Amino acid sequence: MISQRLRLPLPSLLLVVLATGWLFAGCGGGSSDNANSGARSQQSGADAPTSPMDPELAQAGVTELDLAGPHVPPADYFNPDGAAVTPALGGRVIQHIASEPPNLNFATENSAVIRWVLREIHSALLEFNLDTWEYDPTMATAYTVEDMVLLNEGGDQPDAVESSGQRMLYGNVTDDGDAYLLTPGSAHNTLPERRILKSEVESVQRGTVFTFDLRNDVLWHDGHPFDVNDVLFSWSIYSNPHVDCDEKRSTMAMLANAEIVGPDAIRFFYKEQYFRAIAVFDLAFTLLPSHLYNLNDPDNPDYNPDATDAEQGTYINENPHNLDWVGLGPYQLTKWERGRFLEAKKFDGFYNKDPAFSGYMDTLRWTHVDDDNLAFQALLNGEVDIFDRVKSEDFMGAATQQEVFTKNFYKSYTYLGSLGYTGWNLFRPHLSDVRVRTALAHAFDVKEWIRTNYEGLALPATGSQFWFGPGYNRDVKLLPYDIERAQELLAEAGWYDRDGNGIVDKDGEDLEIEFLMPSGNKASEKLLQKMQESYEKIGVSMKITAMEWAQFLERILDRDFDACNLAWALTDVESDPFSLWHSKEADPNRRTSNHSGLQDPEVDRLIDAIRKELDPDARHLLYMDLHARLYELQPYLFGWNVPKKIAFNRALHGVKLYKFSPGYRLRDMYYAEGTPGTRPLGSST
Amino acid sequence: MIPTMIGITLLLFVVMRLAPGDPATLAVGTVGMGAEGAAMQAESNMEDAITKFRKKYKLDEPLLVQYGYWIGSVARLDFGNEFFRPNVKVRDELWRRMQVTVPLSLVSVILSYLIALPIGILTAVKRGSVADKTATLSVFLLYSLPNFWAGLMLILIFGKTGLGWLPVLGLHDKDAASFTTFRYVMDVVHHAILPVAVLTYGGLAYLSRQMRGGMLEVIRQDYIRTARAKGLSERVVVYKHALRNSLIPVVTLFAGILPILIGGSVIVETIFTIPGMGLYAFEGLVQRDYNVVMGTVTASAFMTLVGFLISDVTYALVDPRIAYD
Repeated sequence: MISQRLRLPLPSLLLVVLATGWLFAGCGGGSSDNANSGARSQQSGADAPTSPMDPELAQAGVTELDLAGPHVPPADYFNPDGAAVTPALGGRVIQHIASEPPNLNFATENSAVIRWVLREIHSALLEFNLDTWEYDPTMATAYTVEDMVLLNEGGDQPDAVESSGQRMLYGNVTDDGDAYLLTPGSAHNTLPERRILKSEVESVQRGTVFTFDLRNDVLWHDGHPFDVNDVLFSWSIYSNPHVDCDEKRSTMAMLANAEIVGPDAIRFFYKEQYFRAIAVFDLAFTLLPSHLYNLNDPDNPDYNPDATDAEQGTYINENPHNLDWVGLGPYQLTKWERGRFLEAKKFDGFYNKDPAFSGYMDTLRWTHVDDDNLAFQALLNGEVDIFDRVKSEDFMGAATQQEVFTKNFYKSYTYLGSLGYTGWNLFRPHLSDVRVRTALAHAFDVKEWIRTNYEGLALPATGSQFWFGPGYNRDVKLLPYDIERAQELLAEAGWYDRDGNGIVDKDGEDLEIEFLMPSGNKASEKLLQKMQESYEKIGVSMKITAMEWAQFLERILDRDFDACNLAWALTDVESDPFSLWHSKEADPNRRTSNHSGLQDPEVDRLIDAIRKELDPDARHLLYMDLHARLYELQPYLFGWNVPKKIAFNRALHGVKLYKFSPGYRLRDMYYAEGTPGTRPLGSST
Repeated sequence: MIPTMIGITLLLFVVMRLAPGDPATLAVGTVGMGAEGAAMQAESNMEDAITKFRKKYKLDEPLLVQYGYWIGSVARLDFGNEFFRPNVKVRDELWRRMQVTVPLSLVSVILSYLIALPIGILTAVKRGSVADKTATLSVFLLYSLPNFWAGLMLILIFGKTGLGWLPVLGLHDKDAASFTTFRYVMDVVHHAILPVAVLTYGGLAYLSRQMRGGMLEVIRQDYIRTARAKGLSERVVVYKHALRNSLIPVVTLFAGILPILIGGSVIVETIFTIPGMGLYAFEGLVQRDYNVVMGTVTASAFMTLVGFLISDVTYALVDPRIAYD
């Protein structure tokens, strides 16, 4: 899952960028479980490996519950008033947001906060289930996954269909000696069962044909029925170069073809076998109402059958409904006061009335406050009910212990898939040597830093995959803090103090590293000062350069840096390692997420294999090797996973904590029966 | 006025473009390559997206050509669209934001004058007295307080963590939409106390010193001595004969105080999360949204020039010797 921009602008916010599955931050397939007997599981999130509790983590205060996944702690685990209550309907919950989305069209806008809002006011063909880490059909009743058989030029199959200029057939493929046995895997697949000689086959691309049976009881928020044409249109916009969806275009382009196969059914063809293909049908595939966005739709008030691609593109980019969103979720946007808040109210036309699914509250509000200190004040003032950017010092300190806080709020935390790290620029000659990078890893005491700075409330990380997922190798342990070993490694690499100035040198040059950080980021500043102190002990000079985010980002992407302090926020159980680590993404002339510039044939081989591997167990083994290899190469000083610290209003019940941002879901929450402004379950609005 | 505006905007345009940081990189680069959703990508497409962004906003043109496009749009009263919300016109958003900032600034200006003038007069008339020394010390203290610090202190003192007397966020209560008109107005007043205080105190200090200086200069004049010699009361001497002439330097400051207030509103609106012009300019600057920055700066420059114009007109009102043909 991919790149998403946190609109960052404000200095109080950390870093942020992202790539496939990683949100550069300072910043999850599965089969349907109902009525899709033909579907095969493609994902393994729920089968994440479990290891015995690491004694060091246990000593640091990390509990089994912290590490557990996908299952969450019980609802209201941290709430002192958390005794079971009878849920009531109604009321309002206000979530703080640190940045405001530019608009709500996720096809053209990719900011992080937009997902939080859309999760409540929109829906998709599939939705990532935070409890099970599987993809559940939501706008679809069921889906099936089939294989694609690409025929070579000699392939004699008269009923072969064409997709992306290639003749092919699809169904469930099984190996049958010198042939493949192809059987229909979906009720909508009308191709007869057959044997195809392997000599006719160019390749078999497994898990690439997706057929969705759509719900026929869904309404857009303006009352217009949702249908298969909406889905087809929503897919088609990515092939229009005039639509501002460049950030998603290459991803969506992998859905090479789509066809309507019934009044409520649509089939998609994924270009090639890929382990995360299913994830494309989550919110990333933004469903747009054709009657409001498609100029060729007769139901559109601006209907224009002769509209050019350019006109259609502009119509989508500048559509007023990008702000005045008409979605499919259980809540509908009712008010957006720019710079202040967005507000959504329960949508009466939502197909599922069960509050456990569609939410208990009448109103959800997202209040925008840039500054975290002020946002905390807003919480204390009762302007917001949820503040999820509690600083470590406030979480541990007096700010959350004073009565004005404890009387109405409580604090909680949950580990998300974040990774704070120091990235080395491998294009810099002095950092291109793995011995130098390893020495730098030995010279900084990560455990001590976690203990002193986070009071143990952080997990050391040795890899870039989701800490709790099948791609993370927990057996790879941190390199020990060992100054002597660090000095040995430097000396092996030819770096020692020849001129007696206290700094190691080689070929007449001192080993000096410039660390870039975004200005105003106190956490980075504190860390870098500690690193500066640590590296001085091994004779490495470190210069800290703080700069504005815009300039910082430009220098990182231009690879005009030695080292930088950043964080990734992982948005999926498994993330595609390609964009972070593959050599193809290390081209010095291109701006990519592999800003370290790592180029390693073994890493490339493992990544290529992972991307094609559909078997979760086999893929897990590949991940383990990749993790170990990356840690050996030390392109980052892999850092730590700091939990998200969240303050909730004590009156909120049903609060469940998840391992994906923002770590909770408004739809879960309710007030206790009898709370003013609420009504008993079962009553109407 | 028009040549001045062109000069100001050209200078700002060039400075803005020469500043490090690239809006295209911010718009696309932060991202990475590809979309949310974990699908396969052969290669990242960041470069293409950056090129497209630059082309769309003509950022790939020479600087002067870009300025030509921009000034052409401005001539049609159009500042273009926001980079990051392409369906939002800067002009419309600016107008909306000015409706927040201008009233706040005006209230602050009026309060500044209302408080500063008596202080200035008093300290001039009672020069060297304890009152003069106390007032002088106080205004110097106020003048030297950075407004971001003062704003945060006021939040800590009057917000929930302190006395809990005043709201510290925005200009409206979370339930303001359901209030009666009277309650709504009172709510705004309540919310505006701290921001207006921060906007006011700096200008107040400055103005009172200017007023004091102006008054001191006037009361040394011969005609004041003459007035006293005539046996007029000190009150008549000060308020009838000295005041009007001593106002001239203070009136000239009117032009200067507007931009100071607008500048101050950047900080005040950011601290108190007030969605006004100042916050808009700040967000635009951080995001390198040239259209937003140029729009807000041009509006500020225009208001400054209008301030000068008002000053010139007021000269004639307060000093009959000045007349414009």
